[in-house]
Amino acid sequence: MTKKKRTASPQARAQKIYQQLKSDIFDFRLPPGQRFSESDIARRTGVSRTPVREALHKLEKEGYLQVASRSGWNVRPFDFQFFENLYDVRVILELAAVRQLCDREAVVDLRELKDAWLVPTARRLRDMKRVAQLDERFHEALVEAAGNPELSRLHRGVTERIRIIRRLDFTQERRIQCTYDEHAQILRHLLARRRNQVEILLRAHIESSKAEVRKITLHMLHQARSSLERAPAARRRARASTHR
Amino acid sequence: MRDDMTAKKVTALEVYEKLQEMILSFELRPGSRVTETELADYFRVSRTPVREALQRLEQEGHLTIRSKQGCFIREIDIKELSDYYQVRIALEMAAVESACNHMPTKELEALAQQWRPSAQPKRVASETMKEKDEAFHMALAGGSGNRVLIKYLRDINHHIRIIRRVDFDHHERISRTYREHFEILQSLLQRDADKARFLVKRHILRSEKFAKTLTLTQLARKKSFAKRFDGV
Repeated sequence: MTKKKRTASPQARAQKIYQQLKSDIFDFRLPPGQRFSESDIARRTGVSRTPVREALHKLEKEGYLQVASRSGWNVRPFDFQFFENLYDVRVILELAAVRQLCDREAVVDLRELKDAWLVPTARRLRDMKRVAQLDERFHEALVEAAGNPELSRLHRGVTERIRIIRRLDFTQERRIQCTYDEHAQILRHLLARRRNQVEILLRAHIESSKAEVRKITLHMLHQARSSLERAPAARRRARASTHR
Repeated sequence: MRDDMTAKKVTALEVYEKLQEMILSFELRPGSRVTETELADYFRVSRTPVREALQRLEQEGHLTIRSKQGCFIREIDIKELSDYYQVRIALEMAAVESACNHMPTKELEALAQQWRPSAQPKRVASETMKEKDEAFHMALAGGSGNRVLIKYLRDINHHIRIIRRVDFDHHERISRTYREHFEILQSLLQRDADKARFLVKRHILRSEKFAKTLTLTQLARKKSFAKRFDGV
């Protein structure tokens, strides 16, 4: 009989640290530009340095962190232009997909999307996390319906990269309602194969989400920065000395 | 001693080039299996240069090496080729639209200088032409100023390159490329985004059609040679 492991494997610990740091970055608890060391993280989480290092390297590879010095790290500065580029490519890929859908002879099965988005106001979801997931799925499913795996592959790449800021769009009730309205409209036109309307609406929908997200990100960055500045100088000095 | 080393390198390169040609011309049939030993016998060389060549071809995506089973030549999938071209068209149409607004006239003029039909050399190697062609398309993508678009287009081009046949062998095709590139550049210099989008689409659709026809004809006349390596 094999014995069950009592403690988590180093990989599992690294994975846990990775998830935690990623959500710290996503929620601006670790704001862009924030410096820290491997031992800071090891101490705070009570995990040895090897899995911490593994998690940090993974986040570096994904572009969230960068190495500052020997064991120093910082959160990569926020690159607005990069995100704009990603959103622009998202528009290109999604428009290519819906054009395909509208021009196609065969009827496209969009039941999954109809069930999720063409619902009475009372049945609309309100939970920010769920709506964010559902929104990703809406756009992913549109692209998948076009039946081009390569288009889907690139589109998924964009989705992964913008997730960090995209979910901010669902922090306000108003924006959630807008999303429902717009998705419903896009679906109705798509089902009727009104190609021009679908294109215009989809482009406008993504552009407005991009603008909203930009606004919220700027606001959150500003808040994170001013709370950093408010941090007592003594604490910062203490932290700095443990870095050495 | 040194001469010997050089000779080995040359052999690996020769085996690589010959094998690549055999794959691209379907002498080695898509999906078929070959082994190091068979190829070493065929080329009358040792297994080391063969292994080196196979590894390089695997990295480039022409085949898959499975330990103890041999090498499997990449399958040709016409639907896959269309999928890549479809994405390429979408990306490049958006790229020229953006380049139309952002790309400096000087850069466009320099490109137009290179591609004016009278600049076409009498003879040009197919390989050189392929590189020049890709550089042209990447320059326009660069003109869009969108890093993500550039990266994705490079990704797609890489895949197309593997499945696309050599298609710059005919003089007529080269002249047409010069003509079409020049036309696209003219529309950009006139800052006519709609025209540029239209021309780029037509240009890529043509090259897709050409690549497909060539692939299908070549595939249709599978050489009996391939059978030598089949079902061993």
